[in-house]
Amino acid sequence: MESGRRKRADSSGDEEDDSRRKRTSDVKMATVDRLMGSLSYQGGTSIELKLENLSYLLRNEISPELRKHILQLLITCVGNHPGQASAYATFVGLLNIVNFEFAFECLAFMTQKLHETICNRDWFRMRGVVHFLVDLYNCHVVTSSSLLNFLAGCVKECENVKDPDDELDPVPQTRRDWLAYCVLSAIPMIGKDMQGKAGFEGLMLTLQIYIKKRSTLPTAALCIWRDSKHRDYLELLWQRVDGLRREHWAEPEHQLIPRPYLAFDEALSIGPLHCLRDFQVAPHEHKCPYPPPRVSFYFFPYDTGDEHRELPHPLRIERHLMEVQIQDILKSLHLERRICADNLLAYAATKTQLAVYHCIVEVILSEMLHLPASEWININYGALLVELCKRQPDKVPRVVNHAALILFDRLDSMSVACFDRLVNWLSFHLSNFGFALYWDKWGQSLRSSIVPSATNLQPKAVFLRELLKKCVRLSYPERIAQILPDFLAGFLPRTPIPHFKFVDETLPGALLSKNLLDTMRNKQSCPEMISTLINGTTGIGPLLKINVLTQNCLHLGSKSFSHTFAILCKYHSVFKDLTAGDSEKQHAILNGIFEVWVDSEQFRLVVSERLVRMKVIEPRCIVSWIFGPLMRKELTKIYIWELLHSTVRHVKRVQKQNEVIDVDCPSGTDYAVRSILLDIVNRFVKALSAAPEEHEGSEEHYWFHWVLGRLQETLFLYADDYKNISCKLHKISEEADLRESISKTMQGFLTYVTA
Amino acid sequence: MTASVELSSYRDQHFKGSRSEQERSLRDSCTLYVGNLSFYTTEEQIHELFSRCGDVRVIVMGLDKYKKTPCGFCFVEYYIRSEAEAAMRFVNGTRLDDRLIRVDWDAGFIEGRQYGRGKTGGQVRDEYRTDYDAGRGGYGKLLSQKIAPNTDNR
Repeated sequence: MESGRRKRADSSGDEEDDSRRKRTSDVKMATVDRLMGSLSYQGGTSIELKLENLSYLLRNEISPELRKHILQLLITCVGNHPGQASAYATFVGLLNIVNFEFAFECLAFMTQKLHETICNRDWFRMRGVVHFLVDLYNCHVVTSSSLLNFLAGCVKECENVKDPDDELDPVPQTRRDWLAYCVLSAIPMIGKDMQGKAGFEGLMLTLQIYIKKRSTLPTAALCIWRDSKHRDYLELLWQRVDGLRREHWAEPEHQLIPRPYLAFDEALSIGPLHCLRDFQVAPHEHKCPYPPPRVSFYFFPYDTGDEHRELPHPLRIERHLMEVQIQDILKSLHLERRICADNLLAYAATKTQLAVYHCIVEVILSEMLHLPASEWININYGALLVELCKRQPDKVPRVVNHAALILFDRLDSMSVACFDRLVNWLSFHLSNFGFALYWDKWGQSLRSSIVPSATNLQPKAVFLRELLKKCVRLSYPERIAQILPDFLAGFLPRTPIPHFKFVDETLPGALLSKNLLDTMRNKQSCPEMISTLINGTTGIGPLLKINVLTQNCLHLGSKSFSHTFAILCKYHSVFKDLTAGDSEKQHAILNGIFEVWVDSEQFRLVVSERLVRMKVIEPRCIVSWIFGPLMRKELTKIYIWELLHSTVRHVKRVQKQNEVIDVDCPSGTDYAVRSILLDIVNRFVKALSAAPEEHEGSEEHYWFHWVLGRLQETLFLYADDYKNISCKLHKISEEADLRESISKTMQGFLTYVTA
Repeated sequence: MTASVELSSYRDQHFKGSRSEQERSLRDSCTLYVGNLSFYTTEEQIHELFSRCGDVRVIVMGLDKYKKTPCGFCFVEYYIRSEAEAAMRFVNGTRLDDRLIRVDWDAGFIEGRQYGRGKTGGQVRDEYRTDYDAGRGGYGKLLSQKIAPNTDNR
């Protein structure tokens, strides 16, 4: 008994030691986690101090587990925050002084990870790793010759580009572009040191020739504004880097290249040097999706900013460095709007002489308007801007208002494909700030007052009309009318009240309507009773019967969406029986909806959408309805396209569900999406071809402009699906009698997707 | 990056099931509770705002148990979890009808839950409030009963 107890006491002593050791190592690991994470945040303690703390913590032997842990953290941090690669490189540089093996292991690890990023198509991370390795040179960890060899290896494929006319090149340009981008964007970090070295000058020459030889045609379709220059992203970066070279690599101002290692220059210089191994980029795989072609565009004029803060010229490297920092923060933190805003504002606080707020707003809005489509949902950008405005109310809102005014001013030449995004964003933004906008200033920006009449299809008139509709949808008519200056009152939408036409008892069908209403109001009514009533009625045609039923349901349910949905659900089977498989009859339902809700586009949209989801109206009937003669004038309005895209999303959702059920035959379900998308394009082409060609400024001219833009938008929205049927699109675009602008739009898209 | 979509500390006390079952359904849910709405905010407005995060399957307006009028909350259900997450991230804490609205996970709508649980029919929070909130019927129910003679002329 006695000895047993002692034994237990002994072993518990050992355990205590073990657990204490484990605890200390856990604490150490957690501290390393925290400190390494903090290197990517630009606010708070200085980077230098954080680095000192980290290297002090790790000054002794690093256990194998901790070493593994640090390497994992490194790849995570560098990948998520490529803009802070220099801080992580400095960290490794400081460890290298005392721990040669760690740095050696780190190099092998990171080159392996670089290889993996390409295989995993993790492009963002790939750039981070390249920048990290380049900065290791700056931190006296790798030799200049091995780094230059490494970079030359990265862009080897850019060396022998075939002429565009040559037979099909198996390697797409997008692959070479990305490799060139990763290297070119790292050049400013080492230009000053490396200039004159044969390897470096050779690298620059390779890049220069590549930029000259590559085609910029794929980006031609991506212009946001017809009247201004858009720059291919890679070409623009080259111009900026080349500008720096011509200034003999003079250090960009305002410490825009983060160089935390400078503070440790002396210490780092005694670290042993390593050789980066030769690197071969993993070979191209068929259909690998590389980062697509991009254009860069700017809307703040060059002299924007105020007395104290300047906005660097778009051709200067400083602008690039600022943008990239902001883009990186957005990319890694956009889902958490509060943290993201904190980081953006912390960055702004470190650059007090630059117009960072302008740059932040410009980057966010241009990402939002970006063609072919924005990367994240519209409200993501909106929520970020709201957050920024709330945190810096004396700085950001001014800039956002200025941007909105400029974008409004340039509407005449703006692409239709990003029109809705602008309307949706601004309405959400306004809704968050009491709909307060410098409306008067907008008035001044309209050179002559524009006519609010519905036939006025000038972009600014359409924009104001659609913006106010969205504001009303988020609020209510009286509220918006109250804040709007008089000269814009004509753009307000009509009050959304239902119009039940059978109040007029002389109309054909009024009797059936009255009988139906009486029955439907009765609590005991059931679908069978309604069916019997309808089928028993003679003297009126089936389409009118459907119209009566639809009008009645919407009239009874007009109080809210839920009321409408409830009643439609109740009589679901009646609708199904009356209309099954027949497009004319399904159009009769839509006709009824559009009659009752002539004053509410939102009801028209939401009720039609619901009937599609209830499988009462088939998706193909929505498409034929939208492109039918009755809707011609509606095609210049947003809601009709919301209906079209909601329908396509429905088809896709159903397809996805079917895929789960039917894993063996995915191609069968794919067919539904393809066929509806092809049908849409065909109908676009037909509608556009039938439009009369009229002089610039006429209503018809604008109608054509809007609908052609919607064709482009649709192609862009479903670019991946349309890419799969590009042969068919090609055929359509080459039809002999097709109007030039239509074929140009389609071919521009095809050049873009097949790049 | 998950801070915005984590479960909050609120748990519905009327949930039928264990705490862990409740948390599991909250984690898989596509339904959201939306609070701090004005009594005057309509389903259509809510639809417009929440549609910006994805396709809304259904909205259930919260009603006063006795008066059957909106009492300042609702449930919004999406088809896909990720779209509900987007609403947690981008709509929670933004404005609707000039009010900062609250969006939180909900384990899923069950008939009966659309009614306020306060003694007087509305939400419990509106019973004990001491501030004046024009969008939610003025003062809290208890307080407004006490000062009823004065509020008539307001």
